[in-house]
Amino acid sequence: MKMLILKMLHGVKTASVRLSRQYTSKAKRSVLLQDQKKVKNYEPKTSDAHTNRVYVWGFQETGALGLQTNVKKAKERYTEMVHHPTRLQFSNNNEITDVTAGYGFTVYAVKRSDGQTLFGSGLNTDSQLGFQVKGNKKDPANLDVIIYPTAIQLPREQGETDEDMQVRCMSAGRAHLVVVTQNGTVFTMGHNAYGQCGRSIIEDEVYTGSSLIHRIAQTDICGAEDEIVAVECGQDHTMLLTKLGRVYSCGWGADGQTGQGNYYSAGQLTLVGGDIEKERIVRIACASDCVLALNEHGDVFGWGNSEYGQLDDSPDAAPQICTPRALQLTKGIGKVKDVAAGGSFCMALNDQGLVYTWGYGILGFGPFVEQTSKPQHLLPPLFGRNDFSNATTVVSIGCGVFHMGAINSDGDLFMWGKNRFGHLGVGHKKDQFFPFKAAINGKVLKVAYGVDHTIALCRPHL
Amino acid sequence: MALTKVYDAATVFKHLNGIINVYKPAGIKVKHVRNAILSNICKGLNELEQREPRRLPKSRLLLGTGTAADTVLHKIAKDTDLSDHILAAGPRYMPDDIRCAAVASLGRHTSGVLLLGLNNGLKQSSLIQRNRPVRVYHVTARMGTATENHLPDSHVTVRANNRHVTAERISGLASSMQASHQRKMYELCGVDLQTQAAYELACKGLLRPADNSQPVVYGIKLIHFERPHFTLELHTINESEQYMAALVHDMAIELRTVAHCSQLRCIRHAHFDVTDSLLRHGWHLPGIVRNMRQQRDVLEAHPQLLEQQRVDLHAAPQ
Amino acid sequence: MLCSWVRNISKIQKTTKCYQIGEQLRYLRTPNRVHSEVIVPAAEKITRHEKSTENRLTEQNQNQRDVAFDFGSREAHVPTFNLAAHVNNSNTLQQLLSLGVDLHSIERRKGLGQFVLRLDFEQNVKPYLTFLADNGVSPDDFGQMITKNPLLFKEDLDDLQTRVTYLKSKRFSNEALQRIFTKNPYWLMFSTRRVDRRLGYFQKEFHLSGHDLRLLATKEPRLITYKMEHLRKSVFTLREEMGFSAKELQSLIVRKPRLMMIPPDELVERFSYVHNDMGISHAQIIQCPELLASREFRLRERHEFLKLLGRAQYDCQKDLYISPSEIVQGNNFYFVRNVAKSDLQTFDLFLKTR
Repeated sequence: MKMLILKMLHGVKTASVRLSRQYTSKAKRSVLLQDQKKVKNYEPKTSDAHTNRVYVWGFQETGALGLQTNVKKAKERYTEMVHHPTRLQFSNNNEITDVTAGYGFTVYAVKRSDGQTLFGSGLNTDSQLGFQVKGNKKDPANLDVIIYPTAIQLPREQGETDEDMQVRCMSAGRAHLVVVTQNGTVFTMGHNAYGQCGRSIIEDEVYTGSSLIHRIAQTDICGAEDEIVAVECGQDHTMLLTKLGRVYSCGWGADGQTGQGNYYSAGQLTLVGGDIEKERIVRIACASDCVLALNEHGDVFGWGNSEYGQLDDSPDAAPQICTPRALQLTKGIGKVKDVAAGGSFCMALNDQGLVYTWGYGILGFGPFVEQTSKPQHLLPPLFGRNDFSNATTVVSIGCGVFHMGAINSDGDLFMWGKNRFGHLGVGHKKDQFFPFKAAINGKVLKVAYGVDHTIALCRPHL
Repeated sequence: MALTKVYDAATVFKHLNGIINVYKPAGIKVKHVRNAILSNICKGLNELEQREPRRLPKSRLLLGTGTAADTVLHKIAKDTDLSDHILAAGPRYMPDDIRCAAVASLGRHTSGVLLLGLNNGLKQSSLIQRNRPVRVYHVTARMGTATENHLPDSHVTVRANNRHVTAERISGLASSMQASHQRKMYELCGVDLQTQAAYELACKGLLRPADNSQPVVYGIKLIHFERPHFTLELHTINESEQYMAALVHDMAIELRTVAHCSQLRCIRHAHFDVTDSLLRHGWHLPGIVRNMRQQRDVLEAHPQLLEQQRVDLHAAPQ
Repeated sequence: MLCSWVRNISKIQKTTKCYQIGEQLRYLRTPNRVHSEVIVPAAEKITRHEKSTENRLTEQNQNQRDVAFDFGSREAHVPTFNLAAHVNNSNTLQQLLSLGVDLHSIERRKGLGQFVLRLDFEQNVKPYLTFLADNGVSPDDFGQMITKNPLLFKEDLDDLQTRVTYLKSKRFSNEALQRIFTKNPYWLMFSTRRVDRRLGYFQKEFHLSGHDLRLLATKEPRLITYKMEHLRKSVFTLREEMGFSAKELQSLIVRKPRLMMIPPDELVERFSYVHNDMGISHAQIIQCPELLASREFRLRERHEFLKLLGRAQYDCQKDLYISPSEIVQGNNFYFVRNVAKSDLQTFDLFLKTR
C-alpha cells in the first residue's frame, strides 16, 4: 500500500505562524501528516507498593504534622498552620497501617522491613514519643519537638519477633501514648501524674527525657481467655476494650471518666462496672473527659463529665457521672452503629446513616444553634447525598475536642466545628457551622482527630 | 390542536416563532449550523406560494419615452410594479429576515442538543438561558494518547499505556471529583459560608452558581468502559468544550495515563432531550416546523423552565 | 414585503455607487451634450449607431420637453441603491427580467449593477443572444448564463466568433459547445490563446489524448478556466501526497474532473478517511472516484453505520460485497433501504450517538 508522502512544499509557510493554533482543516492536514512513531512515551510509576496514603492538616508548630524536614525552616514565619490537607511525605516511603493523634503529636503504625513498627512526630515534652536522642548517642539531647516522624523503640523481651511487635491498636491522650501489639502486650509511655500509664503514681517524677516505657502483659489485665481489641485514651485516662466486651480503665477520675464509681485517680487498670457490667461493649469513644460506649445491640452507655447535659438532660442531673449508665437520650434514634464524644458534645450514627449530635458547641445546625439537649440529626444533603448520588450515606463518625467529622460511603470526609488552628482543612481559620467536605484526593479510611490537627489515612484512587 | 395544511409562505412565516431542538453534528461550528438552518428555512419559504408583485399606483407619472411602441408603457399599463418582482428585488425571504439565537453554544467538536430560538422565540430562549439549566453530556475519552488541545484533531504530544486502568478506579475517581465539585458550588453561589443562609442552602443540596463565569460540575459518572475508551456522563452548568476536555485530561493524569476526548455529546439540555432533536437530514422547513411544535409541548409541560425562583437545583428526570 | 424594501435601503454601503438618474432623464436635461455621454461597449459601434441614436433623441426631446420639466428635479436627485428601482423605467432591465435574469444577484457584485443599467437591449444584448442561439444554446438557459456572467456583453462579437471557430477547429462537436457555453458562461471570456494554453496544460500534465481532453472539457467545462494556482495545488496533492501514479491520475481526472476543483485540504482529509479508515485501495478509488467527491461526514456516517451492522465489506472477492460507489449514492433514505438494508429509525438512532 502506498503511504502518504510526508513532504509538503506549500505547508512550510503555515507552520511558522501556527502559534495560536486554530484547528481548521488546514491544521487537520498537518495532523494527518504527523508521524506518531516519534511521539515519546510517558511511563508513570504505577507500581505503588504503599497502598495507603496519609493527608495531614492543622497546627504545625508542634511538629505533629511531620511535614518539615528542616528545623530552621520550621521556625520561620507562615509555617504555623497548614490550612489544606497535604500529603505526608513519610507515607510515600512507608506503609502506614494505623494512625492516632494526641494533643500536639501524632503516632503512626508502620510495616517495615527493618523491624520498626511505631513512628511518631510532634511534642515530646513528657516523653510521650519515647526517648529520642539527637546526633551522637553519647551526647543525649532530648528533643521537645520532633518535626519528622521518628522511630519509637519498643523494649522487647527474649524471643519477641518483628511480627509480634506489629501494632494491633493504639491511642494517645494529652501527653501519653498507649500501644497494644499483636502479641497482646500493652506499652504505655509519657505522662503518668494521674496513673494514665497504668502504673503507680510517683510523686515529683520527671517525665522530660525519660526513657521509661511501661509494659503490661495482656494476661495480667484480662486473663488468658480474653484479649484486648481496642484502646481509647481520654485527656488523662486510658480505657481498654476486650473481645468479650469488657472495659478496663485507669488514670484521672476527677470527672468520673474512669467509670469506677469514684472520683479518684488510679494507676491500676481495673474492670469498669455499672450498667455495662453485663453488656458486651463493641466500641468506646472519648476525646477528653466524657465517655460513650456502644454495645452489640446498638444501645449507648455513658459516664464522665456531663456538665452540658450530654449524658443526662434532666434538670436535676449531676454534672459528673462516675458509674456507667444506659443513656435515655438516645433511645429514640434507633439502632446506633457508631458513637463519638467530644469535649462538650456527643455524636451518634444510626443504622440509617443519619448523624445525630447533641450537647453544647458547634453542632452542625448553622451558626444560631449552640446547644441542644436532645439528639437531632443532620440532613443527608450535608453529607453529599443529592440527585446525582442518592445512595450516599454516612458510614463512620468521629470527633476531636472542638470539632466533628463524618466519612460517607464514597470515602469523602466532611468536617465542622471550631477551626482556630485550621484543623478542618477548609483553607481558612473561620469556624465552620455545617459539614463541609475536606479536599482529599483519595478514599478516606480512617481519621485521627487531634485537638488542633487532623490526620487522614486514605486509599488513593489509583 | 387542529392542524391545517398551509401552502402560503406568509402564513408559515407568521407562525415561525419558538424554540427548535437541533442535533448539532460534531466538526462544524454553531454558526454554521445556524446558517444552514436559516438558509434551509428561507429555501423552504421561497418554494411556497409567494406574494404577487405589487400593483403600481394609478396616478403615477410616466417616465418612459412616451411613444406608443415603448414597452415601458405596456408594462405600466399592466399595472405591475416590476421592481417588486422576485428576480429584481431578490427572494422574498432571506436569512437576515429571521432572528435566531442559540440558548447556549456548543463547541466545534461537540455534537448533540442545540436549542435555537427563532423570531419571537428569542424571548423564551433568553429566559431559558438566564435560568442556567443543567446540561448532560456523554464524554468519551480515549486513553493512550494525549493531544495538544485535548481534542481529537490536534497533534499527539505524549503516548502512554493504560493496562492498569480499571473501571472501578475510574468510577472511584469520578465520585471523588463529583464531591469536590459540589464543594466548589458553595463558593460559586455567592453566600458567606459562616452564615445561617449558607447552612440553609447547604441543607437543600445542590445549588446553582450565581453567575455564568465559572463552570460547575454536578455529577460525574462512568457509564461505559471498553479499553482504550471510557465514557463519562457529566451534569454541568456553564461548561465549555475546553473545560470538559481538560477535565478528561486531568482525570487521565490522575489515573497514571494520558487521554484525549474523542467525542463530546450533549444528550440533554434542561428538559430538551436528544431523542426529539432534529438530525441533519431533517433540517428542512416542514421538519423544523414540526420540531418547533414538539418543543412547545415540552415548554408547556415544564413551565418552570421559563421562570426561576429557586436557587437549589434538581436533576432533570431521566 | 417590507423586509425586502428595508433590505434595499440597507444596501447603501454595499453598492456605494448611486445611480443618480436614468439616462433618459439626463438626455432631457442637457440635450446638447448627449454624444459625449453615451456609453457603448466598443468604439466602432458609436459610429455605427450614432445616427439612429441622435435621431431618436432629438425626437424624444421634442416630444417630451414639456413633460420633463413637469416632472420636477426632486425625484431626479433621489439616489437609488439597486436595479429594482430602475426596472419600471428601463426597457433593457425589463427584457432581461423576462429572460429570467436574476437582477438581484447581479447587483450584489461590484460594478455589475452599473454595467447592466447602461446596456441597451437592442444594441448591446440582442446580437449576443442571437449569437448564442446560433451556437446551439437553448433560450431557456439565457437567464442563468447572464446572471452568472453579464460581462459577456462587453466582449467583441467577432472575438467570440473567433473563439467558437477555434473550438470547432479542435473538433469539439456542436453538442459539446452548447454544453460548454451553458455550464461555464465564463469560457467565452477567455481569449483563444489562453484557452489554448489551458488545454495544452491539461493535455501535457495528464498525457491525455485528444478525445479524452475533449471529454474532460465537455464533462466539466469550469475546470478549464479554473484558477491555475488551485489546479497546481490539486495536482500536487493527488500525485505527491496521495500517491496516485500518472496512469491512475489520468483515469481519475477523466472520470471525475470535479476532484480538481475541491480544496486540496478537504481532498486529502477525505482520502485519508477512505484509504486509511475504510481500507479502500488506490485501485478501488480509481474505479469509484465518487468516494472522494462526497463530503467526509457523509462517508463517515455511512461507513460507521455499515460497520455497526457488520456489513462494511468492500472486498469484492468475499461474500456480502458492498461496492464503494453504492455508499455514496443517493440520499440517506435510499442508502438505508437499499445499501444498508436497515430502516431509517435505526439510522437516526445511530446518528444520535455520533
